[in-house]
Amino acid sequence: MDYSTFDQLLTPVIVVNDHGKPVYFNHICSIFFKLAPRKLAKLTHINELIKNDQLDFENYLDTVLKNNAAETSPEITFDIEQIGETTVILKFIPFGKDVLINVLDFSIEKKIHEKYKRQVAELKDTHEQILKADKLTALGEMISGISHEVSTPLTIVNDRIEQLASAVYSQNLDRAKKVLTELSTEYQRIMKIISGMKSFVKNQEDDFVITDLNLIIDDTLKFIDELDFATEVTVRKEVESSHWVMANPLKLEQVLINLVKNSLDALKSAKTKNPEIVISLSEEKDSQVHYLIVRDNGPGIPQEDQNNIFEMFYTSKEVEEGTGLGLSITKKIVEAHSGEISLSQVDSGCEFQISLPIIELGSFTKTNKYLSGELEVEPNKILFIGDDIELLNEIYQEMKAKDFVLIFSNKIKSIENLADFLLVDQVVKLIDVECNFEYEKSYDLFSLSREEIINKIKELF
Amino acid sequence: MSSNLKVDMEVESSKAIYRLSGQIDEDADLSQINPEGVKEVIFDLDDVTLINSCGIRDWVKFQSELSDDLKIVYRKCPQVIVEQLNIIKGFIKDGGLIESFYAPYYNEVTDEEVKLLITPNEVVDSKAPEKKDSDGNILEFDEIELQYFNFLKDK
Repeated sequence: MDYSTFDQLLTPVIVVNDHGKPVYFNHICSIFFKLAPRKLAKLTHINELIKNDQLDFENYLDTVLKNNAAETSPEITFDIEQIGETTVILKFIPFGKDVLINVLDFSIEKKIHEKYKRQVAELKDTHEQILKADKLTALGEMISGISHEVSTPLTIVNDRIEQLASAVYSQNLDRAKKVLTELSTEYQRIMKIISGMKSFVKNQEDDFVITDLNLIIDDTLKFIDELDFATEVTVRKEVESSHWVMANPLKLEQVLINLVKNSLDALKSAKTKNPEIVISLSEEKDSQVHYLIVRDNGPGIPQEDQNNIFEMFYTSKEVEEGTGLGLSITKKIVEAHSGEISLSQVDSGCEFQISLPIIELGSFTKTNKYLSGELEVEPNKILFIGDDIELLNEIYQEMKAKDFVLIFSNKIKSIENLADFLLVDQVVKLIDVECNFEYEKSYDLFSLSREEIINKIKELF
Repeated sequence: MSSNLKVDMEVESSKAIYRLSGQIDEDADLSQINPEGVKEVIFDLDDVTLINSCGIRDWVKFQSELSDDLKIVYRKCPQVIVEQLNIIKGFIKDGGLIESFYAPYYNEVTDEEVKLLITPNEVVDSKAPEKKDSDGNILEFDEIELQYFNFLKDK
């Protein structure tokens, strides 16, 4: 039989007889297996070339010849001299009385894939370490701030204790009662500061949940109010509707506090008339991001500082006032949310604009184990559409460890705009809406109770 | 990632000699080869031990970006390079000159494999030049001549 055509191929081809003895090798075999044709010709069995205990060549040859149909092996590894570990898939094709074996080499793909995964893991570790260091620095800054806030009421407490002692010695009970009331007020003030601190520090892990940016702004404003950071500055929000994102709420709160704190410092040092900080939310039509904006009417940021403000350890403040980490931490947190931060306008004050992916995109990327390299193939994509953020979070917690891409949405228009990109496989409706895009299956659960919905989801997936 | 390819450079008047050693793979940094201000470039590939598909892609791209005005010489091409010369179009720059390369021989008497440096002029009609060991034993060419010398076909 004339095999010369196979010499033109760029993948190794070996023809073996029914006993597994090679009767032909194409030209590439010599290059691939790093063996001279002289040595290849001396082989008595294919397993002398492809040494892999897991692969039963005899069984493959028998099956292929018996059924007169091709068979494909699973991915196997073996060693080649000079090259080392090699990963291939073998295709066994009936060829008259013989079997043609085509070798598909995946070594490079496997090596690069493993290298990619290792590098991603290293980057994650580095990122974690930076965030941890940042957290400690942020904590240090906060402790310094808290000490300052607590020292004022403590000074008053100290003074009132002296007054109380004096009132007791002089048996002035009315005065003693008044001083005790003042002591109680100062005690409450200290407790309020500590409680604000606790809510900020607790549970700082990178737990992403479905969250409403509107609520994050509220929590931030509450925290700032409790710490009395902004006694002479108006801090308000301009928000009309809910804006859902996939986020760690505490981290985003930290971002807002950093930005507001910077604005406060700038407004105070510039002694701005009618100082004001406005936090607002916006979204362009058909846009795939929400914009979170923090604006003040302070002195703005000098031109020469604008390009450096997000760099680590860059600060325009006095040495003891700023570490130069606040905005670099802020940028890192925003980027960990697949977002971007920019200084968008500085004419009449300072305006920071943060863009964050809408919930549909945020949940898609956060739960896609194929994109993160954890899975070899992209799993089924399930869309959950509903308006109850707590219920959707309960579903997310239930489903996040499973091998699905989870897409959450509260706006049918947003998901329809993205349908061609996201290619949803299954839809779970928690509200009664029409979905005008292609999908394989739909489950209407909107008439069920919360408990029934969770049980049904456990049963379905 | 650290590169497994080392590049040493030597400049002689208007000629730059690059000695490559190690592996041309996905981590190889070919940007360190930057022949500016010379008229001739010699790639000494004697110590290249491996080239994989990622390395081939980068190498071909790198070759295509070399100036057409340069005289390019490939010296001491090892077998791994010759194998790619026979398969990949553009592996060497158009007009480039292969000065010397290695050819595999087998000594049947001593059962030893050797790689001998030969020049293209020694190969006539795709026939390997006759080589002998120090005892005068004739060595057997250890590849398929038509395929191994295919890259010399148009030279």
